[in-house]
Amino acid sequence: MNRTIIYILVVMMAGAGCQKKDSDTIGGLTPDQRIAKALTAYQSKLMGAPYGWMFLESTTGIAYNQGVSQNGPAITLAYYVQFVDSNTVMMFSDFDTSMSVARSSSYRIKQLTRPALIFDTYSYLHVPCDPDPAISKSPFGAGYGWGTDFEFSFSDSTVPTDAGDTVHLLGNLNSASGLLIKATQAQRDAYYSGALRNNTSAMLNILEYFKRLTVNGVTYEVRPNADRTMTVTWISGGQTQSKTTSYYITATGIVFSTPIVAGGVTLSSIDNLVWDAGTQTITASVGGQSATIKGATAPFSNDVNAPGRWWHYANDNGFYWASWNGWHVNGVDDAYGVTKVTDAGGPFYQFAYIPNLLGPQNGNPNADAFVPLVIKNNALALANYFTAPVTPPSFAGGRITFTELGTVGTIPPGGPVDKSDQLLYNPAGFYLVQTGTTSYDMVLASTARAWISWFSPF
Amino acid sequence: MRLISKILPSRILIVPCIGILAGMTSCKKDNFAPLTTPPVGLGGDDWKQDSIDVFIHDSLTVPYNVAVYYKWEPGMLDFPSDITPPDAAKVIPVLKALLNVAYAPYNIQTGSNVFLRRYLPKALELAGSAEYLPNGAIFLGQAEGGTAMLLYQVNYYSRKKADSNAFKQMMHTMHHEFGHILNQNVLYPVSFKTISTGYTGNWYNISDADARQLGFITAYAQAAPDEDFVEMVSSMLSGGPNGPSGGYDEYEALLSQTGGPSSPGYQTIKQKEAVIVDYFKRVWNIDFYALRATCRTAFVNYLQ
Repeated sequence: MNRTIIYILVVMMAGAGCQKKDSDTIGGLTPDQRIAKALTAYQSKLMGAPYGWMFLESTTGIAYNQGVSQNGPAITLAYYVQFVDSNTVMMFSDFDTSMSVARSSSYRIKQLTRPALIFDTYSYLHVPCDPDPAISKSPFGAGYGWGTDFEFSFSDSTVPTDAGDTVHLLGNLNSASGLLIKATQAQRDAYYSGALRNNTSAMLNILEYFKRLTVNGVTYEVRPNADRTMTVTWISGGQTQSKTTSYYITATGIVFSTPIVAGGVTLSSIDNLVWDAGTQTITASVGGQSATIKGATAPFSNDVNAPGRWWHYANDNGFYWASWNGWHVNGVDDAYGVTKVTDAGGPFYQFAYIPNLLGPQNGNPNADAFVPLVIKNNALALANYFTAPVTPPSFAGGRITFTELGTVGTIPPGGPVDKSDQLLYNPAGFYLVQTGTTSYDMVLASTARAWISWFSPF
Repeated sequence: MRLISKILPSRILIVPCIGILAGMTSCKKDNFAPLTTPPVGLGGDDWKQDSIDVFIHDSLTVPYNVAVYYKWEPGMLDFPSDITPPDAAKVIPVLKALLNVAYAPYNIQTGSNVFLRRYLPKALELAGSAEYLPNGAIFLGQAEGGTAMLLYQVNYYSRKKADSNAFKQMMHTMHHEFGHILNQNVLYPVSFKTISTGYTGNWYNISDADARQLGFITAYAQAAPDEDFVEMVSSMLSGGPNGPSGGYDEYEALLSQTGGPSSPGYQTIKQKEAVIVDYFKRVWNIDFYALRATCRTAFVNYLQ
């Protein structure tokens, strides 16, 4: 029986073997001919947009280096790109205010596993993927950018000629998704006339931490966060509500990646931001209605338990709060230059607030520490000098207020650390705004023009 | 043997079956038309040549037979790593600096470009950023089997005096990698490997100053004898990192961190120096001290 089956199989296979068709070609074209045809078609697709393309790049929240991944915020970046000739591309980016002038770099289309679009010399697109955190300002750590890409595979399943006005891309390293959308002449002209710069820099003109958006008589608090998300807070039925979404900025305005539905009103973008230095106000439009954004000295609704929560989180867990840049004052990051401190025992690493660092265990009265951390012998160390606030600080009135107990070492008077300490002991105290699960901004309560951004390194 | 004789019959049946199958499947062949288009990407990528490509052709490819890869080439650098390509505006300045400060001294010492034309790796690959390793160290350059040399951090290049540290680091990297190419062609005396003990993969936990006390010119020299050899070469030709000034300092200044001429660290490094000078004379017929003097003059003259 078995043998019979085998014989039948042999005959069938022999028959099939003789039925060989010209199966190496599709439509009469060899694989190489089809690849060459596809590359040419993609090339003419990209060049076939007379006013260039809007390019939206969204990350997955995961960044790779050396096969090791890190998690962080998922972001969306908006570019305007125009493929000028077979290798040159002009670009604008919303990643930084300095990227609102056109920059030329090169690109090419190449066959990899799939046909790929490679931005092959440095451009605005490469800055967020630069592994140097001093350049990318990435929260993912050294060796990682924001999880963006500059080498993309064309990921549409249709042939390029059928792709219409959009082209989908998929990043080869970090799997960021890219979406090219044909731009209109108006969009192109807006980019070249500097509209992007107005929109990216408008909010920076407001020196107060708290920013109020008023549309049609309704006021919202808007807060751009360091991880490229925006938090919108509003009051509905006496209750404070807030939503956080990533956002990107085009020549038209600030666009929320996910529209925010706030009390029956859908906010999807804030358009045409214009800063008026005279009235210290931004005028804009939201959903076609005129809107204004102004600074405010107090939060919409103060999170009165935040000061206690902030202090206890570090104290009760034996953690500390860290800041990369120290104080931001009147629109200037690291206003006192703590990152450039040289006489504190080693190169500056972070400014830290450490609850109950001092105590009987080290022969001191109980005290917190507001202390620069430096790198000494390849390890983190306390600076040679710092101030010791009373522990715990006061949490009265929904604010945190610090009082000095003493100092360790000799703080150079008038130096960056001394100035930082004086601000900490401002009698007005600080609001604490929770910006993430383990991050807070501490905002000077009197003017809201000074703040420090804390994160937990643990 | 018994086992084989038991199995044999069924095997004998199967073997002819396979033979028949193979014969039949090949019984009809199509006549393929000859390929009219070459495989895509054969001979490398093509792009519109600009002034950078012309410069590379005239200044490196023709005189030195070197190809320069500056545009991002997927898979050419370590994959999957987060590395960025060079800024096009930095490519010509970096190559000019290499030609003037790293290559010209060899030409002056050997009398022509024949030496470099023969031994320079035929591929020079440029990257804009460094390559970050999981242990916190970064790659500044790599040499691959005498055939390719990879230079990272092109985007950081500046020839201004104030930025001379970054420039020195780049030259240090170049001399380091070219040192590898030379010792990959003709190995240094084996006795060099026994001058020091204590080579370790954990070199990045050791500061450069501590390494000098142990008889290594830099911490990286402690990684392996090969690295020790080329770090000595590059530190003598272009200075080394984290010297007494805190930045890149000349070789003699680095030696001051060993603990002085009578210290074991100083004497170990001097022993290595002697081997290197001898190696360059015997193997390459180059007066190393003269080469060093030429390198220093070239560097100082090139700073702005």
